[in-house]
Amino acid sequence: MDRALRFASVVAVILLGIPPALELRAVAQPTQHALAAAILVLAEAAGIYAAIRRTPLGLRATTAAYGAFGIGLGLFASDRSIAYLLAYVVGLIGMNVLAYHARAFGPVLAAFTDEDLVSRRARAVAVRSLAVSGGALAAAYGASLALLPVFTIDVGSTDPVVALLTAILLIGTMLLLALLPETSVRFFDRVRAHLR
Amino acid sequence: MKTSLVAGLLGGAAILLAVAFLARSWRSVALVVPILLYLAVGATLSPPKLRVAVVRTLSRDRCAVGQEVEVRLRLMNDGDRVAALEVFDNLAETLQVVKGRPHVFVELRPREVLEIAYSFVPSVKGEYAIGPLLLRARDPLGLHYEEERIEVESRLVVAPRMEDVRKVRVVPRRVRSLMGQVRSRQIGLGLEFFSLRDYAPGDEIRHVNWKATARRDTLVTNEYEAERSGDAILILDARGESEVGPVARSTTELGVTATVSLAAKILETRNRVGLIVQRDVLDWVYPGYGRKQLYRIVDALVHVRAGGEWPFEQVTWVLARFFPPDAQVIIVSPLLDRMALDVIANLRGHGFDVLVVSPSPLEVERAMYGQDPYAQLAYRVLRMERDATIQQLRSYADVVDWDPKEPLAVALKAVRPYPRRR
Repeated sequence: MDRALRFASVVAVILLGIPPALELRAVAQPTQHALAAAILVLAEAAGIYAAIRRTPLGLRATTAAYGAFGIGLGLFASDRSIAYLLAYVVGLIGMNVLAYHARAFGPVLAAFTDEDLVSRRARAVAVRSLAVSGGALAAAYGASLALLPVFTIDVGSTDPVVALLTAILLIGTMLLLALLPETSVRFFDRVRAHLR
Repeated sequence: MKTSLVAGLLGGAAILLAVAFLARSWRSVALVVPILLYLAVGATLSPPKLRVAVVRTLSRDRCAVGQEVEVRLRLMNDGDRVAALEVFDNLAETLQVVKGRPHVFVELRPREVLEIAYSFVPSVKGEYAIGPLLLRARDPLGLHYEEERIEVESRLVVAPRMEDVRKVRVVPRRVRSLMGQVRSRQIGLGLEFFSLRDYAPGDEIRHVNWKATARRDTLVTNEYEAERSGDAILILDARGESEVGPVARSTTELGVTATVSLAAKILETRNRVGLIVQRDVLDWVYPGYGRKQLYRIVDALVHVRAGGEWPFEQVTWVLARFFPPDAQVIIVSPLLDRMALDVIANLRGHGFDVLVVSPSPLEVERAMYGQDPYAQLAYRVLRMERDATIQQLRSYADVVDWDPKEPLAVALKAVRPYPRRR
């Protein structure tokens, strides 16, 4: 199971490296193309190493490079479809989630030498977590596609200063969300208790 | 608590948003949506507050090195369902798990009682604290976790390994007036035949030697060798500089094994045994008899860890002032430095009969480095040096050079049963 998780992480790193490699065709200048290709190869190597060593933090650089080339060039140079880009973003999240699960469950599952109730339960917990993560990613992709019409409207200010201020406000809100205690969990617990 | 994955996802979303607003592209904002949705789903699935009671039971609280100990962890969930609970029981590195695992993932339903069992084998003696127990509930998306450290500690005393030295004859060579099992080379009460003499009034009839009486035509009586008891003082060299090798097979651990085996053997034959340990402090156990004394010695040896830089000469000072003067002194030392040699010569000068049991540090190191040709060359040079040292030492004491690959009993067969001539 541990080997399967690590293998899946490595495969994810390799497969998600393909779209940015294809996007590099948009870079016409040979020196820039070579530099970008070198960065991408380095990022892929670092990602494979991080996947094998089960270090999700090591995948951050790979994710950043893949995002810069895959999404940046896809958005502004190759003009890829939004559904394709959404799928790629979900793929990048999946790659990181897989690496995180490989780190959390891998060493424990690898240490089991004999088949017993505890090892079976541990494996079941890992498989269930992977399945739920996969489901959540699929739901996120589906819901994002469903919400796409909202992003086709062309309203609001086009002033760069307003745009920058709005971005700062949104980023600040998200960082605040990251730091705040989880009130939502308590809310859902209360709802569940009430339903019971 | 949130994992680093949350920070990573929010960072990615922030970068996408910044790019979107700076480039004034609604399509870029749309790319943030799956990230936010994944985080939102994660928030609904975050693990509940842990309310798990844990009881740990050990199959025994005292054992010897190499004996299997079973641990049972009983987890009782008083809270909500925990989808993925990581259980980690903190074990020392020298406790090697042989069955089950102390680190598992389980699912705990409300009011469920779960038992996790595993077994380990201690490879080094000592007093161990098992625990605390770490519980970590994770959400299935890898975004949140709840951690709790449960302070349930179990104590385990691991006695040192003992070598089988039943067939070896290691006894004090000088005896006291008390009855024992050591042949004293003096006429008295005992079982071993010593000589014949003419019958004297008062001699027991059962001691009359009838064959000799028939030959000589006069009554002849058997004389027997008196069996007495003696004192032995074991000195263990556990200084920091005398330790060589990995912890489980270090010269100090081997020394402890030799010391406890010799103590058991000598106490078995109704002699008194005392102990001095030179480590970061100077420990000693006064001479005593019997099984209780063996437990006292084992208790003192359980806590021995190599360390300290006290001069080894302190041992001579303690021995000369606080221990019986005619005791047999048995020094257990790897003989790594000149100081040990000086102490042995000094003890001999004080009139003690000295036996040195030396676990060979060369063999310990050789086992670590295998067949490397440079290591072999170094071994040959150091072997010559050690042989010369032992040869020099043999003019003061009996020396047993113990190769740890062999049983201690084989090495001890070379010990002479009678005292050296002064």
